[in-house]
Amino acid sequence: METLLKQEQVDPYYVKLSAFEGPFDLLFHLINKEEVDIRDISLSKITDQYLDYLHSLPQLNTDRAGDFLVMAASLLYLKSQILLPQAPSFLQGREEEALFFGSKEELVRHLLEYNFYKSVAAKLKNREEEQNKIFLRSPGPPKILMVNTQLNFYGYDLGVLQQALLNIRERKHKKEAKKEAERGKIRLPDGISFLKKVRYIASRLKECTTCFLEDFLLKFEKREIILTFAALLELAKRGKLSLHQKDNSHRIQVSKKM
Amino acid sequence: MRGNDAGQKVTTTAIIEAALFLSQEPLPLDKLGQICGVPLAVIKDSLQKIKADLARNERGLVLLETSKGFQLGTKPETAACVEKLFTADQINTPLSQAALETLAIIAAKQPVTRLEIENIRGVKADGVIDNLLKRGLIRITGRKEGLGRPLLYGVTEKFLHYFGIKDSKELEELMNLDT
Repeated sequence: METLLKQEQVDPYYVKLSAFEGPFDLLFHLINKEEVDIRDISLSKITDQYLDYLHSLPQLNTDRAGDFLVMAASLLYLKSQILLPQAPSFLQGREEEALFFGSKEELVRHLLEYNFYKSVAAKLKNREEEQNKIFLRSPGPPKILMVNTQLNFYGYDLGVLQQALLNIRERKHKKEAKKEAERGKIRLPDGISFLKKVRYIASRLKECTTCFLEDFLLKFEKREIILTFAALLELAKRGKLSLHQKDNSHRIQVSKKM
Repeated sequence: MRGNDAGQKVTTTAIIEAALFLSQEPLPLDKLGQICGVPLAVIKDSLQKIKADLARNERGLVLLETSKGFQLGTKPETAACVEKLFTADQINTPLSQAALETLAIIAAKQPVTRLEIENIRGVKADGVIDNLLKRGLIRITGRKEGLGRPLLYGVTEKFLHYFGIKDSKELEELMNLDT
């Protein structure tokens, strides 16, 4: 028990739980430590040891320890039955669903059963080890390949390689950030501005009193179209021109406001 | 014994060895009989010869008898060296203790429900069962009549193969703790 506790105190809790595959596993371990037949276990002693073990855990992860706690409760229940004088209990016959077992006999039966499967599992493990040493011809194209497990780093150590990788990532990151920033701006071809577009529209409207929207837009490339359209809207908003469409199928008329 | 074109003698033993070498799957007795065109008693005899010959230290193979027939494998003693031919993911990762215990329960009690397994081990079994299903070591054999009609599980042929168990009789022997 002492060596067990010492070992447990070093390891973090989750490592410990995986060391015991469930509450019966732990109980088994404790009983084996006592080196007695399962049938002769001292419930009182084993219960105390079980609780000691749970107390020795630095912190209790209730999610994973639930089964262990139910086991502790079951053991305590049995211990109390043995220690206390037996009163004609009104509890008798009631189903103890949450508990692993209701009597010492049941516990022993369960432990013996568990012991059986544990030893079968041990046999299977032996066979698995033997069997994993035998290789068979694999179906399909031959899977066997020669692998060079020794990678050649040409004298560079891990730190240098890591730094190089970080540099590459940072450069890539910067590039992408720059691209991202540029995407937000509309860059205009040289010599084009909003004001110039307003003037252009005004001069077109002077020439012909009624034009169609297409006349302003079609001949430009995308960014200029957007700018021209914005200028049209701005002028319409200020009441300098009017936009008119007879119905959905008709072209939009642009005319100068007097 | 029988002759070939070059007039050299080819023995049944040689043919069987060649067939076993070529085959990627276990070859049943009757299949070997078909190939060689000799009675099964002769085949059995030859298999014995091959087995004895392979037992010598100079040989690197073993004759395996599985539920599906006979097969050549590498000698366990050579494993430490020949496994260097494989990458890590090509070598079987051993089963966890939880998986082994669950398999032991399923093999002994099949068909068995998840709840029965959980009651014996005192811990949840869904993760382990999923894993074993994925590895093909167990399969769903049906549903239990009664409340909720829970799924029933049993071991597969692959399970027998994985642990080198010849047949259900050998499995039964394995469950007998006195042996």
